Amino acid sequence: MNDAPLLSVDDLRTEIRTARGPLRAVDGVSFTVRPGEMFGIVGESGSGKSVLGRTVMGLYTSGPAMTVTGKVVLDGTDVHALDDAGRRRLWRSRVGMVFQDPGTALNPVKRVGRHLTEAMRGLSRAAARDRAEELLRLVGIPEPRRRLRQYPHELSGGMRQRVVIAVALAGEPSLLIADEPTTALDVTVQKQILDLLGRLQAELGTAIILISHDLAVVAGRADRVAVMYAGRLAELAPAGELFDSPRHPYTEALLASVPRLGDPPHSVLRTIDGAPPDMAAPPDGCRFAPRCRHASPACAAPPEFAADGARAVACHHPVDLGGA
Amino acid sequence: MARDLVKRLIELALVLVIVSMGTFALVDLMPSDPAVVVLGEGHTAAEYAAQRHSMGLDDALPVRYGHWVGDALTGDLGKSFIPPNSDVGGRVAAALPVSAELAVLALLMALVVAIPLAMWSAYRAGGVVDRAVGAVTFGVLSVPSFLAGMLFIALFAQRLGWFPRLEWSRIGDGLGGNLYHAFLPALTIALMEAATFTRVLRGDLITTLQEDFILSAKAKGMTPLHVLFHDALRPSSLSLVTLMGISLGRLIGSTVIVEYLFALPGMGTLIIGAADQGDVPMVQGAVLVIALIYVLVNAVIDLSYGRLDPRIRRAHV
Repeated sequence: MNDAPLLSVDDLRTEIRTARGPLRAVDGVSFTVRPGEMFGIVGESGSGKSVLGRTVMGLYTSGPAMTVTGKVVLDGTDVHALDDAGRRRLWRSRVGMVFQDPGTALNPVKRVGRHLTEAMRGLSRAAARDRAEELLRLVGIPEPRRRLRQYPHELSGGMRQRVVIAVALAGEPSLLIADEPTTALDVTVQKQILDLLGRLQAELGTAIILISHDLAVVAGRADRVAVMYAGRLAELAPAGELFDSPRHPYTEALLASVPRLGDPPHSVLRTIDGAPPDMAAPPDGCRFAPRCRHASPACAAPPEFAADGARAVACHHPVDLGGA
Repeated sequence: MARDLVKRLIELALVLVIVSMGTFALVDLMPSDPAVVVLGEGHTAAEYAAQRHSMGLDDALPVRYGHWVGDALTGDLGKSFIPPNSDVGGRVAAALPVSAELAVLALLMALVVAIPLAMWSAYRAGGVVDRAVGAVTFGVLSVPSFLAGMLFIALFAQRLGWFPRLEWSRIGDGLGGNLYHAFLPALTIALMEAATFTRVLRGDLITTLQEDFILSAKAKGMTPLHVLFHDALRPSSLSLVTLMGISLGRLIGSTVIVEYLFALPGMGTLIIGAADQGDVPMVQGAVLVIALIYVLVNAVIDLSYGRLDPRIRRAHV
């Protein structure tokens, strides 16, 4: 695998100004994504994963509403050092975003074709239409020529999400950020969309950041997975290792809260006690400590996100590796 | 679509019947006796009775209504009570273009001002421009149009001499001269409309700009101007279009003050003059025509919703 990262995120912080004071939605996150890799980000609602995705892309940037510090380098370009025009160029050609709800991510008054062609530059009308048709075929939409003339409300949810993906692919990006791409869809359609993303990653070599609250979505598809908790990364590991031997107590608890087919009927699901912290006034030190069964006085100091080979964990008392 | 249209037309007809009844009832509701209006003071009761009889006022209300509507359907709105007893239809036909032109021109001016202002305000909601626009529109809304008109006349017509006043030039006599004469009165009307339009459109745009599809358009690399005009404006324009329909109908009949200030021969002047003299047929005819236009304009507006939002198109069929 190519060693030079496609994307490197270094100590990224996004502080959103709210009426209740600054909210540290992303608070010192670092990771890299390799070309062609499927990188999963898992976290509960409110853990900051969507803000992270949008900040990485540069959709969220320093301004009256928020402050962004840290560095995001995509394909050699410092995303947050670009001016508006530079960022638009980046979005047109290098990075695409797939949104959570395809019902609202497409403009209800625009035809499918227009969504696809309006960002294309330097193509004749006919060439743009052919390209749009090709994109629809690529994401597995039957009768693409007819679909181009339709409005979003004339398509099913799954078809709409395929269109959203086609739109994101229009600029042949090297990175696709999929923010909860299946959350608004039926279970059967979820699988189809995830399979499509996997196929695109394999066929086009597009790196994908797959953001989800659902471990099952990420499991088996992502190459590496980062677990996010309260604006920070708790753990980062190759997917198999993370699921087999979680090192962060939060990851462990998260995995334990997922029902398994092998469980006896009516067994009680494990839940995590307590609630995620208030991000306007998060606890000092380890943010998971108030809910953690391994917590000790040492947890009053913020744990370092310590790398150990391919894995990294931010914990003073990491869970032992498989009885080693 | 065809069935929808037929349903619409039936609704329109019903509305017009009700409006025409109300208009017709004016004769009996107005305090003046038509016979006195026609003959003047100082005649005997018998002479007045004879006059009433010759005008058909002895007939029962439904019969008179039938006659009136029958004539109106053939384009005959009757004759004025006031000498020289001119044809109501002819007088309305002469006054209507003036009012209609003023209303349309004022709405266009208002849109040209309101759309960019609302966009800027909504795009930077809470910013300096937004707050300034908010204060100015609020101020404009609280200035009565006669005051604005008087100020414009004093400043642009008298002091600066840029525009004429107390004159009107018909479109038939040359478009340039016509627009030149219509500019100030239209501006006077447009002022308040622009303020209302700006406020309404700003509010809807702010809601639209929070939609996911706006963010996804940005994420495609579209410029802010493209996003505002091609993604945000159309979904935000339903309230504005509704408001425009109501304004257009209203303005045609009720720009009286402005017409009076600028001495324009429009519908407002016609109706006020006729009402003042007890000229019932003139009032009836003018009101009926205005009602007809109002109903038609709003029917067109209703149909335009489907153009603006394809989801509505399907819901109707």
